[in-house]
Amino acid sequence: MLKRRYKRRYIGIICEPTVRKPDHRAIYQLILKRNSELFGYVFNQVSYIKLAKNNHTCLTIISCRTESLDQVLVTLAFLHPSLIVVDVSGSINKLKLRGVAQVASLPSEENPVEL
Amino acid sequence: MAKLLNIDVIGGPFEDRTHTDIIYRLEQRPPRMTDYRYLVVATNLEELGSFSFLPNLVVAKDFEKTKSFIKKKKHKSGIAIEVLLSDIRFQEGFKVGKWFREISELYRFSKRADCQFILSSGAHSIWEMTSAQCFESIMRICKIPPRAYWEELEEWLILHDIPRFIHA
Repeated sequence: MLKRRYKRRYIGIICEPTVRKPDHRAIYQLILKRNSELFGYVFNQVSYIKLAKNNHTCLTIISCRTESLDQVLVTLAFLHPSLIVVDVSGSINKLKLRGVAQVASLPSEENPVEL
Repeated sequence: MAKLLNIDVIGGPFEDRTHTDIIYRLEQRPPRMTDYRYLVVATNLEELGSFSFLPNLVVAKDFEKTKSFIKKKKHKSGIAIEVLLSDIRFQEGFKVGKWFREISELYRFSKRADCQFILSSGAHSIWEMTSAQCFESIMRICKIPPRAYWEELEEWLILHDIPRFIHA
């Protein structure tokens, strides 16, 4: 029997900078809860949504099966508090590289908002 | 911020300082020529009843009412029907599910009625904005082809940019 690994997609998320250090695990739990609510418990389980290890404080990285990416992105768009999907990648390292640069360009309390 | 979300042009309320990458949402057509892009937005259907008021897009709150109004007003073909994510994004799961079904129906209706369908975040702050990837996922679930949607929207925006100069 062939032992094939399913393909995953890594999603970089940021939340409103009201909190200096966002709780990645709490965000992850919120995503799981909303995904179950919108698409069902079975779908939530087979999506294999996982929280990736990340040292960057602002960027939360989750991963899911490629087949479930659309539903997970919909879940992120329908989540309260609002989250912003900054990037989606097939490689966690690429996502971290791009994500950190994008987060640095984001408006913060110190930098004024620029649309 | 919009570039970060892979969105080229965004819509926003009018401010003193204008920006080329923003299409301003106005309640009335300006009397003079403008150096900024704008769309006249109707937020309630009562406004559409007036023949002197010609909006570019109508924000659909009640989908059925919007559909029946546009069916009656045949001369307003080419108008856009805008749906805001902000109306539904924090609602319970079953309401979101119903919304997805209604969106698919509204998209099909807009095709039949020669209207432009617009899916918008309805964001009041930059932190409520939705990325293009999320929009496309919503579209795929609603059976709306994303590529066709973006192309049609771009064409519609170009078409509605010309009357800005003619009218003024």
